This record gives sequence, structure tokens and C-alpha cells, in this order.
Amino acid sequence: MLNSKKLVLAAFLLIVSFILMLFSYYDPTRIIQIRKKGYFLGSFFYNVSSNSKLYLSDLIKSISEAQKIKKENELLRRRLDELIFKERSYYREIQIANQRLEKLLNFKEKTPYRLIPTRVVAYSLESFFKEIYINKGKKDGIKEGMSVVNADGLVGKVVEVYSNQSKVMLIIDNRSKVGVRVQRTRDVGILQGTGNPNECRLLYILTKSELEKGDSVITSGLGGLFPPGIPVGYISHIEKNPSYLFQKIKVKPAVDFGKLEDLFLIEGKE
Amino acid sequence: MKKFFIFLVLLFLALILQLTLAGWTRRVSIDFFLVFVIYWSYSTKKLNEAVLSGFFSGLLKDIFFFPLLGINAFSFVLVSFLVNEIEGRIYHQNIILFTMVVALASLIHSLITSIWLQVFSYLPFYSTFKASLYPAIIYNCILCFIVFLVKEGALKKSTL
Repeated sequence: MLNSKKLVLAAFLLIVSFILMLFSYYDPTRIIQIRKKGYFLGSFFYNVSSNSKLYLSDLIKSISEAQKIKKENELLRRRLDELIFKERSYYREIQIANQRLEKLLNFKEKTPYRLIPTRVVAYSLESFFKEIYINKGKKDGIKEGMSVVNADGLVGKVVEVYSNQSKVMLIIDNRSKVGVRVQRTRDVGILQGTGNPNECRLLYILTKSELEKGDSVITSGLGGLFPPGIPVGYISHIEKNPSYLFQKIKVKPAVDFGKLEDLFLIEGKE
Repeated sequence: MKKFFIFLVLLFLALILQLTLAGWTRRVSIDFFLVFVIYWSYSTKKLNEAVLSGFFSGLLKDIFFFPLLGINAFSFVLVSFLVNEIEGRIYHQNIILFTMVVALASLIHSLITSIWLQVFSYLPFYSTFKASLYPAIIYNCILCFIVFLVKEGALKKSTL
């Protein structure tokens, strides 16, 4: 049988936990302040793991490349083998890097905003929070609410800023809401994340609006959180019911959230 | 005093492993804090010690990884309480029973955190519960299984 004395401490701790929940619900800035104080640990270990991951993946890539070339050139001399391997692997790496940088440079030249380049260093602990950590923070002039984009479109917004890193909530997070506009019809709505990287909900579009599958969705700029005109996604599903005021619309994000790597923070207009 | 020091070292280790893993993979599935709480509650005979370890581990996890304080603290207090109670009623060295306790604890933890996230952060309960339970439950069981084997092995070695 359970001793009532034993239960006292457990019950007390449960009550304390609940009070803490209420406390941080009504004053969320307090927990962010506490987190900032201990964040040097996160910053250090995110960097260590992110860099070691890059190093290891490079290592694995080079090993597999070397094995391939060895098979293809088994009759050639050892020195020639090494030269061919080096030439091919370097050439490929440079070509991929070149393509990636060219894409980013084109994007940077076309966009009218001042952009700060950044990189993903860590992902959210829990899979139901769609958040990432980037390698730019307070020291680089990053502020809460700044928009994060890549060459394909809107990625999310900065929700917490630490000294060297920042936390970004992606637009696919359930808590994310973005003011958007359908580019062709100019209808304005709210894009809400669903937690699914391939699907967002477009809310408050009237049933009488004539939208089509494939219509491009961009940021509206209303509310002042996100600058206008940034590509967000494409309409993938429309469900109309004449007895309802609004349509049920699904949007496929323009950004591939499985391949986030090089990003930009929008600082302001040029 | 020595036990308290070991507790702090293991808790710090869980934090480091969790932070390192978050930078390593896009979908973090192992909950090192939960594994630590289960292991500690299962190993200690004192209930007060178990629930206190649960509370402080949960609080640390909340500070580093959650939008609200207290969600994991609440869940870990309940989990450590249940694990410690179950431990007193079953054969201590049965690894199958231990793995079942881990699975049950993971289930309860996912259930409680999903309820609180629905209430306070408006995250949909079902999808949060599903995402937090699977495949984390499998990885947690595997990791606890390994920890159990290592601990039992070390115990046997020291008694020889």
C-alpha cells in the first residue's frame, strides 16, 4: 500500500511544476531569460556536433569516392589512381559548391532586401516543434522577429536570440502564422503550419474567391512581421462548400524543409 | 554526498548528449533525460530521491528545450514515482520487466507532455502524442536495455 507520507513530496512537486507552467505561460519572456543564461552550453555543443557531422560526412563521401575510382582504374598505376581520384573528387565538390553559391548569389542580387547569410547548426529536440538553430546571434545584429529565407522562399522567423546563435520557428510549425496573399487573385489570408513539412493550411479565403491549384502564395506584408512578396508556396488542394464562408485550402511550401542548409536573415530594405 | 555528485554528473552527461544529438540529426528520437530518470528511479530505493531526481531533470530539460517551464518536470515526477513504485513490486533483475517499465514510462511521458502542450501551447494532441511516442519509445527501450546490461555486468564484476 502507498504510504500517504510518501505521496506528500510527489504531490508538492507536481503542484510546483503546475505553478511553473502557469507562471511561464503568462510570462514567457522569463524562461527565455533563464535559457539565455545557460545558452553557452547549447552554443558550444551545437557547434561541436554540427562541425563534426560535416567533417564526418565529408570523410565518408571521400572514402566512397575513393573506392569507386579504385574499381574503375584497377589496371592503372597507383600514382595515376591517386591523381584521377583527386581530380574527380575536387572537381565534383567545386562544381556542386559553385552551383549552390551561384544560386544563392543570384537570389541575393535579385532581392531588394539587405540579407545576412547564415547556416543551420542544430534542429529542435522534439519532432513536434519545427524549429532550427542558426549560427548568427545578438553579436551579429540579429533581432527577434527577423524573417529567415533561402533561395526558394520563406523559411520562418527568429523567435529567440542568444549571443552567438538564434532559434528559428519554421513556417510549418503548428504555432506559426504568416500573413499571405495569393499572387494571381490578390486574395489575402493567413498561412498556418500543420507540423507536416509538405503541407500548410491557408485560412480565411472566402468561398467566392476563384483560386486554382498551383497558384503561387507570397507574403502579404500585412501585420509588419514579414516583408511583402516573399514566395511561400503553391496551392496544392482546394475544397469548396457553398454553405461555408471560407474555403479549405492546403499549400505546399516552396522550401524543402528536409534540406535546409544555407539561409539568409532579412535585415531590411536596401 | 557521493550519490548526489554522481547524480549531477549523470544529469550533466544527459544534457550534453541531448545537445550534441540535436546538432547531429534532424529528428532527435532518444530522450536521454527520460532514460536517466527511469534508470535513477529504478536504481534507488528511496521514493523521495526518485521524485526529486525526476523534478530537477525535467526542469533542466524544460529550461533548455521547451517553451514552458514545468511540463517535463511534472511528467518526470509522475514517471519517477511510478517507476520507483513498480520497482519495489517486481523482481529487480528481470531485464524483460525492466524494458516493459521503460516502455510504459515513455508512454506516460508522451501522454502527459502532449496534454500540457495542447492546453498551454495549442499543439494538436494526437499529432504531438504520435510524434513524441514513436520511434522514441523504441530507442529509449534499447538505450535503457544497454544501460541495464552495463550496470548488471559491472555489479557482477564487483562481486566476483
